[in-house]
Amino acid sequence: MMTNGTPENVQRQIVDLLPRLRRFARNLTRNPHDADDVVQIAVERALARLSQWRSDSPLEGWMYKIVRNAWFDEIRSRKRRDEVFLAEDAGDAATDHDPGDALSIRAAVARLPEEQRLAIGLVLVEGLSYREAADVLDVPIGTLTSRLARGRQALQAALRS
Amino acid sequence: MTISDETLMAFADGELDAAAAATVEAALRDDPRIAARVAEHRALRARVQAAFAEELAEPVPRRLIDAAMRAPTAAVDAPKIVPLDALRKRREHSWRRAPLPLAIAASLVLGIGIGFVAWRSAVPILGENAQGALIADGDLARALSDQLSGPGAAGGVGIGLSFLSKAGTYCRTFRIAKAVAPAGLACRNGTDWRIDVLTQSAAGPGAQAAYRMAGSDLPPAVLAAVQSRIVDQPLDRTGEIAARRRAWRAPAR
Repeated sequence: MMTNGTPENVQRQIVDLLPRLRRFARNLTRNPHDADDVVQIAVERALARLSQWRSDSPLEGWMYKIVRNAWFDEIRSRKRRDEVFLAEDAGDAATDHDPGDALSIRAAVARLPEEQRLAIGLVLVEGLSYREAADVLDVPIGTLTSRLARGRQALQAALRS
Repeated sequence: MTISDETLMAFADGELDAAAAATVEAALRDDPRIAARVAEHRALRARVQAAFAEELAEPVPRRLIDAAMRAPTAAVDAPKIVPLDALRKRREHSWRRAPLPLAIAASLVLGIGIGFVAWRSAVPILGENAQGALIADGDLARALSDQLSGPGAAGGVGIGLSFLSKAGTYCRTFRIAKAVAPAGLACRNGTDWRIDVLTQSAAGPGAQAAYRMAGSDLPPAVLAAVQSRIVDQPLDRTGEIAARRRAWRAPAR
């Protein structure tokens, strides 16, 4: 079970995960620049804490969680510095030159409340199981399920209109 | 029978166990509205997935790949690892060299550069066994054999993690306050503690203050060494006490 757990191996697995980590980070931050910064911080943290990763659990879930925590730390420190310029009205950045259905879906996802947006992002976009997504978000699986259901209803309503 | 929309969603996502899924499948055959709702959930999932798929094809910025592939030893503020084989070779090699000025001998590697005798006296907690392997001596050897995990006395040796290695021996990470070689990994070798990894202070003794003594807070180089050796989980307190009672002789396999 530890056969893939050498640091070099894990590092290569992290590189393979980078496109997905960036995508999740954009969903999280709604700003592509913040997203890349947060991924970089998360990768550095992950490497410094490799021993905390249990190699019998999926690396991706562990990484998503570090990305999420890195962003929450960043928000906290921005608030401390009174520099809150979170992209609350965002959705535009990621969808500027994006035609048709994808555009409207991505805009609709970006407008969801954060809890629903992250549930949708982890399960529908990133393809995590409910259990894995609940672990990333540190919530019980029932909470994840109801956030996901509400997010889906909101998306369906938005896309119907 | 009514089935909640959340259950239909979970069914569409493949999250139901076999029994619950069978119930939904039966209902789905009888009731076209249920079938339609499940189809809606699946369609939404597919549309959302497709809408975000192209982001995966974007090139990843170089700086992120570099961050991921950076050697753990070169992580921010981390001390450099001293590969012990290289270190021994260097020591043999530099016997015949002119001594370096003592003033710059702030690291263990440089300390060795000025000759083993000077180095030994500068680091009284390290020694050599008959085969020339680096082993713990003095306070370090005593701490490795006697102390349970924890920060240890102020100014002394702290122990981080203890674990059983793939080689079937006990290993322990350690940290030495105010030393030029502030942290490392030692594995039991007979009645000695062989030093497998030793980190070198990057910027002199002052830089080590930043490291706290917790298992999770060791230099990346030491953690990487642990990761590559460890079998199962680190020992808990009970496990450490039991291992210490056996004088760190590994249990028979």
